[in-house]
Parts: sequence; structure tokens; C-alpha cells
Amino acid sequence: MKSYMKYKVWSKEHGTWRKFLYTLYSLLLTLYFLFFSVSSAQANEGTAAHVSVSATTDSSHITIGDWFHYTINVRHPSGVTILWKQNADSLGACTIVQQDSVSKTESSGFVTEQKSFTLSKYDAGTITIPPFTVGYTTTGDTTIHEAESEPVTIQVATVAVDTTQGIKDIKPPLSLPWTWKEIAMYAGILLLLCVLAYLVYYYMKKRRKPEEIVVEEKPKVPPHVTALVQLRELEAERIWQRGEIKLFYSKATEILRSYFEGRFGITALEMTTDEIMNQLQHVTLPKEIKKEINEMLTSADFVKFAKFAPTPADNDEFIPRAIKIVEATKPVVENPVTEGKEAAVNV
Amino acid sequence: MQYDIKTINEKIQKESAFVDLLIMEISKVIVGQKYMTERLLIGLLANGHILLEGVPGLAKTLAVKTLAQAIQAKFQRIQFTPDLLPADLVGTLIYNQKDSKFQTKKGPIFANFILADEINRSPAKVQSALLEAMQERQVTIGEETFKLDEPFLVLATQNPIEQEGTYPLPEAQVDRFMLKIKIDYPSKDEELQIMRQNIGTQNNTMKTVVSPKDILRARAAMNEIYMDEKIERYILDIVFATRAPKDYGLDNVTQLISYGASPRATINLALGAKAYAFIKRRGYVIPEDVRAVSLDVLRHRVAVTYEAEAEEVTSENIIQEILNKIEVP
Repeated sequence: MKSYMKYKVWSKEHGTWRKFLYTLYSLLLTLYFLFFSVSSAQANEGTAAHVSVSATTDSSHITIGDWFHYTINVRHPSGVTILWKQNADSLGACTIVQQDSVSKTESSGFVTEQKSFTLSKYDAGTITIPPFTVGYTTTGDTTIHEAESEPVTIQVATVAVDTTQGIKDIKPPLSLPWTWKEIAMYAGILLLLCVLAYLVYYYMKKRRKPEEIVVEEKPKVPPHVTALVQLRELEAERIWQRGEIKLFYSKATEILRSYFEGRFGITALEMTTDEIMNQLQHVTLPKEIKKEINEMLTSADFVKFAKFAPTPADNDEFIPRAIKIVEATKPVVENPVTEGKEAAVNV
Repeated sequence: MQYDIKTINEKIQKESAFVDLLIMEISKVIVGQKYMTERLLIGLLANGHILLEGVPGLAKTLAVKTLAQAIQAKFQRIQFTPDLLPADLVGTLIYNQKDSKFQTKKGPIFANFILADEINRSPAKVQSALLEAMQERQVTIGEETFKLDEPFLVLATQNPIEQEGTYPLPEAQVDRFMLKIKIDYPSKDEELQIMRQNIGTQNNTMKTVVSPKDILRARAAMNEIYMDEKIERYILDIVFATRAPKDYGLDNVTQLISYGASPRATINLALGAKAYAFIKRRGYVIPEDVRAVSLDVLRHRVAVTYEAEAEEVTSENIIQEILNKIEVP
């Protein structure tokens, strides 16, 4: 019983203490949570104040398909780096027609970055462009934070159709005005063609007219002059007298055939006697001369190809006979009128 | 003037006396075609064979038959077909049951004049059999070799129009023909005479004027015909110009010739020129004789290129160009 009483006294003393400790613990816990929530709120409040993002449009009411501008402004202290997101082809339900690059302005320690988009919408109704999010980092901190704009609402109206009027045809394509780039390209092509045409013309002209080579023209010796000189030289060589009868007749007939070639324009050197005589049929010559030519060539053929041995008298006569033929067949040139008379002179 | 080769000339005059007579007898049956008749005689005298080319109905067969008749020689016509066998041509061995021995059955090639009609219709083995006989002038049947009769002249024909189903003669075999003659249509007057002759209003019978022995004697005389060195060089120039045209200033035909004439062409050109001189009853050869046979001797021996074919240039055009360029002695 005594011990029970001791416990009761002890319990009474220690219960007050326990209450006190419990109260203190609760107070400390409350203070801790209060401090943590305040500092957290202060930290959030401080960051949000650093970067602000705003989105505006130049019009809140557009007609379907119209273009409108959507501008994003990001204001932040210097030392903050804004990370712009790449927008491919659309912003929410709007189609990006064009997007400008980011421009920066700075004043009073704050930087304002601006980026504009040209948007369009091809459906009617109320559309909301979702909040535009940008990332950013601060100096000495690699953590990427985010800030975003408010969503923007646009009214897209459809085109009013007057149903009382008939259906109209589709409008033709609009012709675009010429750009300087195009003009320069076509002018370049035209210039190139002109240069090419000139080069072709120049080449053809040069090719058509080769450089004239001045060749000193030797006075042409008439065939009969050559033949007469050669026959006399052959006679002077006295070939047949040395026993070279075949050579003598070969040379003599060759001179005669060369003469016929030059005089009558027949390829007598490449012709047989029969062929030469056939060709001479078309030449106006006295019959006796033709007969004499035939006899001379045929008799020379006998010597050349049939081991025929002519008499010395025949050999002696051959050159004078040949000279007689050349003299008789050489061209006759008429002299200019002298003293009222026309005189034919042998060249 | 005095002839150095009087004896030769006199001999040729004597031995060639039958030529005019023979041509006259042939012309009784064959109207026109003097060119062909002359070439047949050249082939006969020069111991060469002839390839005839011409459209059907130009009296090719009749000409050979008539020539054989005029010479009293044996004539055989062989129609070359795709199913012809060498044995059909040269002969074969037949087993005789009675004697229990193989007997030789000689083929139609055993004659003086053979007309191988449409030679390009038969396959190569038959062509070879004939061409071998032409070259060797003998035929082997079984184990026995038989000499062919002299004179032995083969005239082969080719139809230039129909080429389908033919076996064109290889160049090496064509080269064995001394002459290749192209026969053209007769003139209007000649054809009128042919018409009259064939509808019975005219009846010309010919007689035998020469014997095969006369021909063999004429061949021996023909060999004695004098050919000067200048003529020999002229022949060489012509043949060499087909091989190396550039050397003769014929640059324009260089690209047109695939290959030129063989040495056989040189031999045949010389023989042909001699035979032509014989026909003209001369004891010596002149450039005219060479010119007269050049086309016939060379046309099948000068092969043209594809370029020439594309430009429609024939071997005749090329040969003519060469003849016009080579200087006559």
C-alpha cells in the first residue's frame, strides 16, 4: 500500500513534466513546418519573379485562313539564359506560316526577348493557343527551370456565303510579281546564249574562210611546150643508138601520153592504146593525125611488149613523127585584131 | 619492120584458127553473150574453172552445153541441192553380190564439162568434194584414185537474188575459181533474135568444130605466148594495189578493202591475159589483155569491208579504181 502511494506521488509529479515535454515538442514541430513552408514559398516566389512570359496576338478575331501575328515576350534579369523551344509547324491548333528569329532589348538590368510567329487557322470557331513554355537557366545553376505564358483565345469566323447568288468559279491562280533574283537568272541565261551564238558564228566564219596562204603561182607551162622539150631531149640522149630500143620507145610514148593527158584532159598514162584511141574519138582532130597516133602507139607497143625490132630508119623517124603530132595538135590562139585582120598564131 | 617473135606469132595464128570458128558455131545457138563465150574459152584454154553469176534464164546452161557439143566433149549438169551428198557427185562403191566384190560407180563429175548449178544450195561437204576435184583433177573412191578427163572445166552458177537457205562459198574456195563472170541481160535486138530462134521460126543447128585434143594443143601453144617483163610488173602492180592501196596513191580505197587478192590471182591474171591474147590471135601479151580479164579474175578475190558495203561500194568499183590509177606500161 505504501509503495502504491509512492508511485501515485511520483506519477503526479512526473505527469506534469510529461505534459510540458509534449507541449514543447508540438510547438517545435509547428515552428519547423511553419519555417519550411515559408522558406519554400519565399524561394518559389523569388524565382517566378525572375522570368515572366507573356503572349499577345495582333487580333483576337480573324477570318478563316487569315494570317495573324502571335508575339511572345520574355522578361528576365541579365544572367538568365532563355532556352527557346523549336516549333516545327504548328502552335496548338494553329499552323505556323512563318516564324521570326528572337530579338533582344535591355533596359534597367532587365532583358526583354521577343519572338514573333505568323499563324493561320483553317477552321472556324473559338481556338485557344496553349501556354507558350520557355526554359531558362541562371548563372551558376545548371538546372533548367520553366516559365510559361497565359493561353490566348482567338475567334475564327467563317466567310459569309451569300446563298442567294449563284456558284462562282474558282479564282484563277494569282500571278506573282517578278523578283530581282528571277530577273537576274533569266538575264544571265540570255547573256550566255548570246555569247554561245557569237562563238558559234565566229567559229563558222573562221572555218569558212581559212587563212589565205599566199603561194607564188608559177606560170603554167603548156603541155605541148613540155612535150616538145622532152622529145628533143630524148632525141639528144641517143638512147636507141646505144641499143636501148625498148627504153627509147617507152620514154617516147610516155612523153606523148603525158602530152595527151595535159592537152585533151584524158588519163592517157593509165590507159591502153585502144582506150586512148577510143577517147580521142571524141576529140576533133584530122583523121590522118588520129591514124598516125594509132600507128605510132601500136608500133611502140610491138617494141615494148612483143620483142619487135624496128629498123634504124624507124627509130630515127619516131621522134620527128612525135614532134609532128604535137605540133599538129597543139592549141591555136587567135591574136587580137591587128590592122583589121585576125591572125591565128601558134603558141 | 621485122617481128622478133615471128615464129611464136605464126604458131599462135595457126593454133588459134579454131577460135573464130568455135565462137561462130556457138553464136548460132547462143545469141549475144559474146563476153560469156569469150570467158568460157579463156577458162578452157587457161585450164581454170569459172563461177558464173547471173539471174536465171540467161542461157548459162545452154552456153556450156553448146561449148561441150562444139568441142565434142562430155557434158554433165549437176543440180546442187541441200540433200546432195559427196558420193552423188564423185561416185561410190557398190557391193556386187554376184561377184562378192565392191564395184566402183563413177559419179557425174567424170566428164569434160561440169555445170554445177546453184553450187551454193548444197552444204559445205559437197562443195568441198567438188572443189577438191577441181584442184587435184582427180577423185578417190574407196582406195582407188581416178584421174579426171582432160579438158576438165567446171562452171558453177550462183543465183544472186535468192540467198535464203544457201551455203555461201567460203573465200578460200571461191579463190579456186579462176574467173567469176557476171552475166547481164541481152540487148533488145539480141532478145528478139532469141525469141525468134526459140519459137521455131529459125532453126540453127551447130556442128563440132574442135576436138578435145585441139584444145590441149592450143593450151600448149598458149603457154608459149610472150609476156614482157613490163606486163608482168603491170600485173604485179594491180594485184599489190589490192593489198596495199596506199603505196599506189589509192588512199580513198584503203578503208574499203578488207583483204586483197592472193598470189593465185597473180597467176590467173597472167594466164587469163595470155588466153585472151590467144583468142585475139596474138603471140604476145599487151596491157589490153590484162585489162580485159582483170575484173573477172579479181572481183571474187578482193573482199570489201563493212564500210564499203554500207557505202554500196563493190569490189568491181575498187578494181576499176585501181585500174584507173595504175600506170599502164
